[in-house]
Amino acid sequence: MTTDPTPRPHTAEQVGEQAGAVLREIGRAVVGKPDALELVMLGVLAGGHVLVEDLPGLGKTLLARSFATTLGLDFRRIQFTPDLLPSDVTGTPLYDQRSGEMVFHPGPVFTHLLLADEINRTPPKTQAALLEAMAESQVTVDGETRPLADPFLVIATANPVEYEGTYSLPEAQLDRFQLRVRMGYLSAPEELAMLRARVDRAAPETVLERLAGPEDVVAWRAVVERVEIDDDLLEYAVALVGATREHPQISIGASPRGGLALVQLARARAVLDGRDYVVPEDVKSLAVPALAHRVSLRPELWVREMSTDDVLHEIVGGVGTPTTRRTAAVPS
Amino acid sequence: MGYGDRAGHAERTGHGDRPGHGEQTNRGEPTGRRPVPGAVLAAGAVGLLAVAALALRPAEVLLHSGQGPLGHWGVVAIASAVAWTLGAMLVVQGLRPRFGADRMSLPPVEERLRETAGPLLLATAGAIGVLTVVLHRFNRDSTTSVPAPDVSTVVPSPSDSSVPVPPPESDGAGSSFPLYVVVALLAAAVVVLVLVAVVRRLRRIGLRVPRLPGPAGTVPEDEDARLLLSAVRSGRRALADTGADARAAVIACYAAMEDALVASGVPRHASDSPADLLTRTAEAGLAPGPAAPRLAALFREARYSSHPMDGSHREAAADALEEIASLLQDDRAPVTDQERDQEREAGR
Repeated sequence: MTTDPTPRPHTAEQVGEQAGAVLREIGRAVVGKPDALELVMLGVLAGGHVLVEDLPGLGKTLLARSFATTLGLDFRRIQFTPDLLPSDVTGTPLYDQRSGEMVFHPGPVFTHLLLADEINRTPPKTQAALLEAMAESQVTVDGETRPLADPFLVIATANPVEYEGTYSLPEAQLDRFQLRVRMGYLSAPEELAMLRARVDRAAPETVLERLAGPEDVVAWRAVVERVEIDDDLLEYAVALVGATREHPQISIGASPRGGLALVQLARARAVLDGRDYVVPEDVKSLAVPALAHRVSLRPELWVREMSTDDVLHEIVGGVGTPTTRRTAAVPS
Repeated sequence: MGYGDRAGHAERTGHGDRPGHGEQTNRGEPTGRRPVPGAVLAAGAVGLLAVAALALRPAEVLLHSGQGPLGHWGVVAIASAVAWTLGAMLVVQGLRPRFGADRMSLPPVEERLRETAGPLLLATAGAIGVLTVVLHRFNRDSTTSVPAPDVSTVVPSPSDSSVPVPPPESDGAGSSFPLYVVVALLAAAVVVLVLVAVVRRLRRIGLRVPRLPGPAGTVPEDEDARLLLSAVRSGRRALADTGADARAAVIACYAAMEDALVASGVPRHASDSPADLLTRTAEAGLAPGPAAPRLAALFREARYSSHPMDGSHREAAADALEEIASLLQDDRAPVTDQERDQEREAGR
């Protein structure tokens, strides 16, 4: 494990190379999922939180742990259960007999990367304990506000299968996730390669190398903030978000926070691609992961087993991208 | 069961992509977008039918006295019908989203029934309109036309043979000529409207109206080649224009490539990004070579960044456009030669 990572990058191209190296390293452990890995990396770069939703056993927890290891982030994990209390997440003041004072014992939320495993297995009260932490990177306990570490990233996993004793995530909390990632099954050759690699290495998991640190992640995010985006592309993002509000099959469209997330993710994708400007492909490819979990379908569509992803794909196919020629002249 | 019942049922049973968020539909539903319940639609349809039945009720009582379905004030009836139709069209346009939302829950069989019933009802309405005009007798003097049925029912006795009895069909014969002209015009208009609707529907589902076979089948190819050349020429013109800056020249080159690809048969959609266009180009079997992604990358930088653009960018874009144009023309030439050879073989 290296202790001193490479020098702080200053350009989008350098960040793109470093982030690409991190993705390749994680790809050694999480095989066959380059798209899901890239989306989580976009969440890291854009400073958002990621919801990984899929069936059990598809490597969601491995993915989160691999990111923490390779990025050199402090990593904590909460296994959400029906009897988990809010204080188990945020921390609680305890009486110290020696000093005779109440001393705050920070909970697992005081970390860089928090894995909230099976977040839909805990009651809404405990889920809501994460709200403030995710939205404002701070925790208020007993009237005292404590800031969280920087960077602070939540990767939450949720099983879409309905079990007894699960609690669906409130809309307010879903909206706080910047994007939703689905893992999906491996193809037969990929699954075969995974099994072969497991047999060959004679160890349960691949040992990953640390390629960055928390300071690097903060520097990467600063580079993302300098990425430019054309007004026409902002209008395109607004049109996509607006289309979710007017679609006849959607009862609740995406919030303005959805538009912010879409634009920020598009800028992060530009950096990952080594660019300091956003192109239409950035916005278009991220519309579904950034917006699908923020909309609610009409109840009659639930019975027809239509997913929000399907409707968002339809919307993306119907909203026009910016025209070829620029509407306003820009000096050369 | 109305919409609200179904929604409540779905909430209770917890079906769907995100169970338990049904209450969101109550607090977050946009106002004025609630679907129209089926019962209201049915009641409206029955009411309209009742009005139509009253209006079409022939003869002398109730709404009018006259001959034929339109009564004495035929012109007024026609004008009213036109106004009624326009009003109905406006209302339907306004309510279309609600209708669309309500029929989302239809099972496949009912959906097919709906699709069949729609055109049938429209055609029936048109037919009734035409029949109404055909059956009406545009008599200028209604007082003479009222006893007409009595005349036609009187059996002429031999003693009355000296009195010439006008044949029933001669009643109003003087005004029948313009009537047939009106009917013919109406029928022609209906036929044209139906044809336009059918052609639009066919195009929407992807079918193309077959082209007329030309004398040698070369006219459309020449047309495509002309479009391709004109697109490339427009790109060259933009490059040669010294007044335009490098950024505009690069964008013009990409626009020329787009036009050239479209002229070569690549479909272009409004929601396409440059990457989508290149993907579709590859799917269409065209090979613009590595110059196409190169030009697309130049275009993205020129169009969406504030990077300074200079002569080198302009030169790179011009080279890429020339390369694409030559590759597209080469791509087309062997095919056309091969086709001509095949035609010659078939001719022998």
